[in-house]
Amino acid sequence: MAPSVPSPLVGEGQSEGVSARRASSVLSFLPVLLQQSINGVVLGSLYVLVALGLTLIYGVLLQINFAHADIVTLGAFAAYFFIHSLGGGYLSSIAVAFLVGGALGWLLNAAIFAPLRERGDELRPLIATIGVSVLIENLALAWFGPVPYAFDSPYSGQVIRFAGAFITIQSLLVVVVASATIAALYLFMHATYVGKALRAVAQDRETAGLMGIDPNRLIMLTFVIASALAGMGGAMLGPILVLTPFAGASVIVKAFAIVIIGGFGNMEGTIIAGLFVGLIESFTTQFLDPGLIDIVVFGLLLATLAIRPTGLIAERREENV
Amino acid sequence: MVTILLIAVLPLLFQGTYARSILVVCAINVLIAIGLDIVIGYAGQLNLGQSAFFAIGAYVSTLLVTLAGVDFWIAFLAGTIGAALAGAGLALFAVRLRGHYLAIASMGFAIIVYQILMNWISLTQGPLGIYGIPPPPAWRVPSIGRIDFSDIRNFFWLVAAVAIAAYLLLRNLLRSPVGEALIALREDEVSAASLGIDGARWKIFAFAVAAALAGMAGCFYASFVGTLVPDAFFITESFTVLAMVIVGGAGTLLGPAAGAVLLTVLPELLRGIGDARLVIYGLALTLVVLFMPGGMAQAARLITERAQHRQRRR
Amino acid sequence: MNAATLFRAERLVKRFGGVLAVDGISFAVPERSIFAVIGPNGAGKSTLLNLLSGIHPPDQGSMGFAGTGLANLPAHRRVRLGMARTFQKIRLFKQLSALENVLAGFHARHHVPWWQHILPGAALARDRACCQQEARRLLDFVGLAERAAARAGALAYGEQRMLEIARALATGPRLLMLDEPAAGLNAAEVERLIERLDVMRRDGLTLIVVEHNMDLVMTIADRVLVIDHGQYLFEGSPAEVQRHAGVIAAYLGTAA
Repeated sequence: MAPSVPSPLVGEGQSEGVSARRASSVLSFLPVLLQQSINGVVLGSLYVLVALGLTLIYGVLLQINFAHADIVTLGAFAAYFFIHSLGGGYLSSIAVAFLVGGALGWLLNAAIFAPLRERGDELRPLIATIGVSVLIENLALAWFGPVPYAFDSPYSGQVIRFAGAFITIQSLLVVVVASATIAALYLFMHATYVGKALRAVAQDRETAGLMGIDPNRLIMLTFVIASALAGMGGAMLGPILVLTPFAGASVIVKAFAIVIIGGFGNMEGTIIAGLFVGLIESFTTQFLDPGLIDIVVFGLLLATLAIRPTGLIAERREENV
Repeated sequence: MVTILLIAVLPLLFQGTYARSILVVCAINVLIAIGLDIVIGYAGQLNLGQSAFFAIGAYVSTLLVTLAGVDFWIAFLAGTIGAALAGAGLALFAVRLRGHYLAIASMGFAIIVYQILMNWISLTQGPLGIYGIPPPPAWRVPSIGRIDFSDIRNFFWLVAAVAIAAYLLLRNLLRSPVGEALIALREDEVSAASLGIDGARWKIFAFAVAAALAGMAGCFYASFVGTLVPDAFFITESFTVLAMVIVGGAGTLLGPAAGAVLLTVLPELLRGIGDARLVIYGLALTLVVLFMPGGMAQAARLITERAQHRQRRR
Repeated sequence: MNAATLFRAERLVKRFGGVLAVDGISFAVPERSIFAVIGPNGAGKSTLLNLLSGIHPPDQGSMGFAGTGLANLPAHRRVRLGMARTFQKIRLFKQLSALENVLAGFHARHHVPWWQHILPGAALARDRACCQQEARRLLDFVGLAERAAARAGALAYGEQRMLEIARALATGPRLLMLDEPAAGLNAAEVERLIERLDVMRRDGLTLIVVEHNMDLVMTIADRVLVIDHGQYLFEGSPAEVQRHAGVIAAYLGTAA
């Protein structure tokens, strides 16, 4: 989790009387606010990367991939071993994780989602992915062991300070790469032919098929992109979180919350919700108890579902019987 | 009948605490599994919250016994009812949710419960857990004498008796109009509504039943193991029970019971390979969903059909 | 024409997304009659039926059944009042047998004390025997007596349609709403359907039938409501409808 950072300005300016003291304690509050906002955005960017994959898959396939978490984990491990065993650089390890993620996505779709698609059972693929997830996590546990790996990026130590807050280069990198990726994805979805075709398939598979678009190919493409994003997310998460076989799992539950709050299949909503959750997490860590994060986030999730069963910003999809 | 006798004899066949402990865990898992089957196999809802109800049953009964000195059986009842209420509560929530949302919401619920257990240290002692939980107090039966439940055989017979009773009552329930309603609900909710079946009410019912059974199992579990740590109720337990139901064959009641036994015993038999319990669950679940979605029940059906076919040919 | 009104709808409005599917429709259905609703494709007929049966609440307007306002009564409660329906896209329980499908329809009519659901007793046995008998009678009524044990999904399309009707009848309705019951049926099957509808009407049932098949409508309906683009176009006897210029234009004007 993001470290909670005490304000370096605490104690400054507490001399000139009550009102001045109050004013200055508000001032000393601001850096904390800023710091946690920064932390929140960093976390949020990561969550968005992971959650976007989920929402993309759901948008096109109306399925949830439980094993998405493990693609994050495996992406992180791939990056780790690329650096430590093959001597690669950190930045290229992100690319490696991207590719590994994509490959895993291809594999998952080919092995599980494609064969089960014809049978038309809504929940069976979900259950299968639960099985795969448990399998991968525990195989990884047997393989890599439970002891966390120290995934240090060369950028973790360097820090930029300003206005009483700081941000590590690593975190900055995360935000930059995530934003660039999301922007690229957005462009892809809205400006290219393939992207628009993807959205068409998400809206109405039959009609898209009739217009000469091969849904299966597009679904595979979606899977690969979504999983590549996840893998990349893993590589960037590694230095920030602890790298264990369950690293992805800790993120995925929040990713689910994000996708539901933002609305399944809704890209913009997911981005907003992701940043929102990131901010909530950092503020909860700072002002409440880190142990309560999950409760707060999931409480939000359940509250969202209570009020709007299809998510806060979701598109209305009412079913005509 | 024969099966019941066979089950009764089991603890006498297996000597040794280790083997008998496995039997007890089997019985406990059977309880949770058949409960979950009501929701998944009959009402058709993907409920991933069983670990939470298991935990609620365990903690409520344990806290009542250790902190308030309540009699075991009253605590047992309280734990079961507490779990059932939680189940109904989750269901109230879930009635408006479609399949995927429900799965995630129930998962969220289970995680919240787990976190509460971990963090409410003043009540649950958090990760350190509660120690020294006593087994149920001995019974004085007129002609037989004293039944001491610290003897594993007696404990097994107790849990097995409850599991068998639960199974029989559920089986009757499923053959009754209630069962018809649940099955109709599973097959097509809209269609069922057009026949007067209140989807919301029966979903809540199914959840409450599943939760109650998990709660009972939790009470027994706490009492059997003697210590209670939140880690025993992590979300993976929900996946484990799910695996038991699916591998056994959802919607057959007997299938999940068999699945529970298989998935409890198998990892123990394969102990030599390492602690592969969860790997087996994951693998079994995935393979079954992909290749034999009806689980062991479907496999059994296929085998008997083929045997009958061969007989007819002669 | 002096028959009491069994069902009444007033100024029903329903929007789906941005589309106005039903726009201010009103009508009254007399008891023991067959009331048909027709209109070109996309006219909003099925949506209308969904409003009547309680699957979607109307955005505006009201409905009444046998003098009772229906307000926002959900579908399963309307069944208990005596309103049953079938679906345009067949919604049988495909994995269950034909008999089991019909048995499911008795849900609202069981009289069994709750504890006998887990500890069976005499009342449960009697109820079961009674339902089985009645179910077989209904299957016979729709001509499926021999197929009672067949899996519903394995039945021929026409048989499935009739099974849906039998199942709806099992709920013991006073009003039966059929959504395109003749869709996909061949001429002989339609003949049979018409004949069965006539018997149902004689037995005291009231029917609302959404249909495309003009033969059926003109032969059996007492009154016909024509809607187009969710709006009321015309209501009258079958003969009047056939002569009405606006109706003809609506059908010929759209590429149905």
